[in-house]
Amino acid sequence: MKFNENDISLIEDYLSGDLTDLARQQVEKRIQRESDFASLVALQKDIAIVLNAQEKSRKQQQWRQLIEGAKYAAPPILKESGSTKYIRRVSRIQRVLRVAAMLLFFLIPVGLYFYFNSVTAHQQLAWAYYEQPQTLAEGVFDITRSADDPANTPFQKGIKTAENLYKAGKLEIAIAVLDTLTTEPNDQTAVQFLKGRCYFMIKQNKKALAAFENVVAQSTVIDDKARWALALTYLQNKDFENCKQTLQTIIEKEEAKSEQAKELLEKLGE
Amino acid sequence: MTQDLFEQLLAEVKQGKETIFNRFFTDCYTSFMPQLIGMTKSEDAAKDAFMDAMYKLWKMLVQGDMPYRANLKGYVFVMVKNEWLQVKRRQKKMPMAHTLEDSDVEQFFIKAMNLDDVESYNPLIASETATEMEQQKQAKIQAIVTAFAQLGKKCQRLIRDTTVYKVKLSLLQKELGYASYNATKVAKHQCKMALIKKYTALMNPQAK
Repeated sequence: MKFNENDISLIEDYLSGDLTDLARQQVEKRIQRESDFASLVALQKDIAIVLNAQEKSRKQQQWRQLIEGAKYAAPPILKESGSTKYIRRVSRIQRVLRVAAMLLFFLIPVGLYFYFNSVTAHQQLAWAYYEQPQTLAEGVFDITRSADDPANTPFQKGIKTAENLYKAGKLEIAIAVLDTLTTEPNDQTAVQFLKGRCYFMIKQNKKALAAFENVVAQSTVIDDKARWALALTYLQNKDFENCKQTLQTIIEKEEAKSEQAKELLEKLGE
Repeated sequence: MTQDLFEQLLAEVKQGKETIFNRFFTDCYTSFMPQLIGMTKSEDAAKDAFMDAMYKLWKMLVQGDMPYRANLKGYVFVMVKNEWLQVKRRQKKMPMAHTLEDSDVEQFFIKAMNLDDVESYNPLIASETATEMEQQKQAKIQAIVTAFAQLGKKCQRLIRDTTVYKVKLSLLQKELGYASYNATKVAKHQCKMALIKKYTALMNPQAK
């Protein structure tokens, strides 16, 4: 390959795009006409490609060593990722765990809801003997009110309203109405008894027990009704010992519910 | 990356040091690899795309025309993704028969690298099954590499930095200790001439 020394600079400028349009056209004409000049242009191009690749390979060889070092210092996922298979397996496990966590997130509250709201055998038994609000034959309003007590006092009106709400199944509102009556100086047994019934229905057993025990302790006309309700609340609260004791008392005192008390005792294994 | 650190990186690269760059390289590698492997479905392909992009970044830093980027890591990640897309595109494209392609040359260096001595790498022995055209290409590459290795260190630096990194002669003038810009230009010209002469001698030994 013969070449003119000045051509080297010319070709460099041509390859780097530094020539004017006219000079570029002249170089292109020479490439077509002169085979040695064309070879020189091709060689200069090749030199650039080879030197670039050589430099790249030199740098990459150096960086491969860095990567080896980085592998040992990397977090476990990279350190152990000898193959992509491993990484894919890890990400699959992560995906499964994520789905499982989401399922648990939804299932746990649902499970808890069913656990606390499911009706167990003893609760069914308590409810079978419990006088439902809709079928309530005798109202506490009529029982607790004495003959000479006027029915239109605010307190009596309150009791009547609460009782109607209770019968209609509006238990929370009934409790709210009864709460307004606790400051009245009148007999509180009717209020406590009705409250106990409402709490029993919404399964707030501790509050129901407190209310019924309060009524029983005062020995009034609704004493027997309160004791029966107390026994059923113990049963609903899984307090079988106290339930049986209360039922025994009902039988001993021969109260109105003594026959049902005997029956229930038998069912409870006495 | 903070601007201070970026400037330190540029200054270091100018001096030929690589401490900050290597730290950045390792940091990017550990952060990107899980995503890259997911994208390329191969650890080797991910590594190649990553290193190609890093080489481009390295060249930009050496050239000194890299502006400051607060999110340099994000920028590099985009570069790596583009590299991978280019590889995919190249796989579809048919290679040109008569000219040297980047991929031919890279393959040459990959094979030669295993021997740790590019100059003694004999393509005729290494690839007995290669076609005549492939053998010619490999001989050409080897002649360029050998001719370049026969040049002096200063010449090598002049040619490599201007050809590969496109570094301006005025910058090299100071670093290599030339008296003037013109002296640097002449020196570069002479080096190129020497390279071409050596190459021609290697390709046509009987012409001597």
